[in-house]
Amino acid sequence: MKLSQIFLLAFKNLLVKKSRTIFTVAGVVIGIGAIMFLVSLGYGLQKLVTEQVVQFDAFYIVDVNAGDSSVIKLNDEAKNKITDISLVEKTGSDVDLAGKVKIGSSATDAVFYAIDKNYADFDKAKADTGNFINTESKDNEIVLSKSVLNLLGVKDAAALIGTEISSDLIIVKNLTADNNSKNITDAKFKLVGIINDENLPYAYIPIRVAQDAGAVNLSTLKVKVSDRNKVDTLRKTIENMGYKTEHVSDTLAQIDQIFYILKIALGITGFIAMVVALLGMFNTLTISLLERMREVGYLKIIGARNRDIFLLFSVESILIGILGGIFGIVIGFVIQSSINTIISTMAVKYGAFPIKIFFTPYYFALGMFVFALLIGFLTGLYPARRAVRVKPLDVLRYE
Amino acid sequence: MSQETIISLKGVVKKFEVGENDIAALNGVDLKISAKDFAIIYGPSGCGKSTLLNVISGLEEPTSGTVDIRGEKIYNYTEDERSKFRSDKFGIISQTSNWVKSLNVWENVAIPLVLKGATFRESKERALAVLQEVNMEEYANLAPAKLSGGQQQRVSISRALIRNPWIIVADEPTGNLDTHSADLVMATFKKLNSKSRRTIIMVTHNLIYLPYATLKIGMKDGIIESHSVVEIAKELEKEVKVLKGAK
Repeated sequence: MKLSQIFLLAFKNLLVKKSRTIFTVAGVVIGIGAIMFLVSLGYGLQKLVTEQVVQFDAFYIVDVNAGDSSVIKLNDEAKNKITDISLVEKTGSDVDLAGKVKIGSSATDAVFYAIDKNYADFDKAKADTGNFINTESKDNEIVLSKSVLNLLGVKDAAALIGTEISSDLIIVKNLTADNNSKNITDAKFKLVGIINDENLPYAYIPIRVAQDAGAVNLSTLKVKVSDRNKVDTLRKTIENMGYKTEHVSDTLAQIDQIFYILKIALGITGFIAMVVALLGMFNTLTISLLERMREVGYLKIIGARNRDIFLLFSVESILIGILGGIFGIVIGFVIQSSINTIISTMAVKYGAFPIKIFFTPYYFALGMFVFALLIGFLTGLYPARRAVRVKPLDVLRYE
Repeated sequence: MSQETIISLKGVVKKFEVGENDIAALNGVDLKISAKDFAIIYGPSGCGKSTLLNVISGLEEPTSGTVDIRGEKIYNYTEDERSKFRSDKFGIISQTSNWVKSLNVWENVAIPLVLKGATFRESKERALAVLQEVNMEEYANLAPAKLSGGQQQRVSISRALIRNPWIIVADEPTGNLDTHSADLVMATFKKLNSKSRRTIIMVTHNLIYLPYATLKIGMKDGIIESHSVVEIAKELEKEVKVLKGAK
């Protein structure tokens, strides 16, 4: 029997018991729809969090440091070597210093990030009030976090912009050439901006200040890779030189792992609905076979091969799976899109950015379709095999 | 009339296991049926009529003995080969018609061709032609279940005819029909035998139809007793009385 005719006959068989078929398909639709809905929520939340945590550009940046090693130094020579690697587009340097910020008679501890222009660009560092430091300016400019000014008891921070600030800095020993720490006393800076961070006390200053005072090694070298997909290759190359590297994917891997577990949990919840649907489908197919025993026996007598009977029943259950899969995916998608639209509209109304809490990757939707098809086939396997075992003569005998 | 033997049975025994006992439904049957025969197998209930028909049509493998259909020993074949042989050479009709409920009359008639690899569309013309042969073409688009028993049986005959078989086997084809419908079915068989030159082998309880036969095969206790029609008629009469008494 031709496969096309088997499909035609299977389709007609499903149409004979319309309401039964509709209810069975509806079960699969609910099952597939539930998995789609819940797992897409998982994907959506993951996407939302990931986008919040990292900006797109961050994927191009690898942080390099010397780790705890006292032998390996991240100095100019190392910087040049790394910059010469073909995958490297450019690098940004940072020297971390400890120190005190002094205003009048008050003083407070802070971390000083002495950086160059590339580093500032990579870090997207900016001031919330005033400007960010111009690392190439002749003046020694400084930007402070709000926390520093709070600790110093400054009430009107904005009024301080443009004034001179004095600081004592310490260059720790592993940054210097002779391995002795160095002090810079009363370095003068011009305050150009303030960052609204009330939690951590820190300051940005030009790297030149640290280097002029004897810092020859870097704390961190930010490396921009030319091809995002080659990050791992670049990290390996740099790590083989003895340095430690960090990349946003390390953080993402942790986030991904959490959401991986969440998606599985949501998927299992959806799968429970699917199992109920499958039991219903199995029941329908088995009853359908029992009702058609004589039909099957007689088909065999007039020339149906075992293959034809097996395919006929399998195709019927596969069709239920396919219909359930398609409608489940479409309905799941429509509901998700509606909720996304409602939430986005509300978010915009209340002055927030539009957000989408559901996201269905195309491969997941495709996977669900294949899953529905497979489930259809597997559920039909037992009734189909049982149909194959029908003995044609039994049909005649029981007349 | 040609006497070419088309079916030949030698020493056919068929035993069924019933609990711990073997019961012989056929107890050494020798039989020859020629191409032009209208053979009627008759006898009381449990005499082995249907078993004999099933053995001939390749549905029931005998415990011993040989079955030749046009020189081919069909029980040397595998089950699948035999199934193919049966669907190629035999048209099979049973007491009640078994329909594929999702298909209408002509589609059901076309099924044997579709099983053979044709499409429904390709088979439609041939299906309508065989329906015409039994005067049922006007019902082609109805659901078979909507037809009367006699009409269904005639559709069933056209389904048996669609692949132009050598032999038509029918097990109690008139068993569920009123006299008028049964007469129509018998007339159809007669026409197929005499005009379309098909071999007919039919099992029946009803001795009224014996005059249609060119070969009468009387059975009792699993063996052929061709010369005891009267005796078998008496047995059948007794059976009828028992049935009436039961009512």
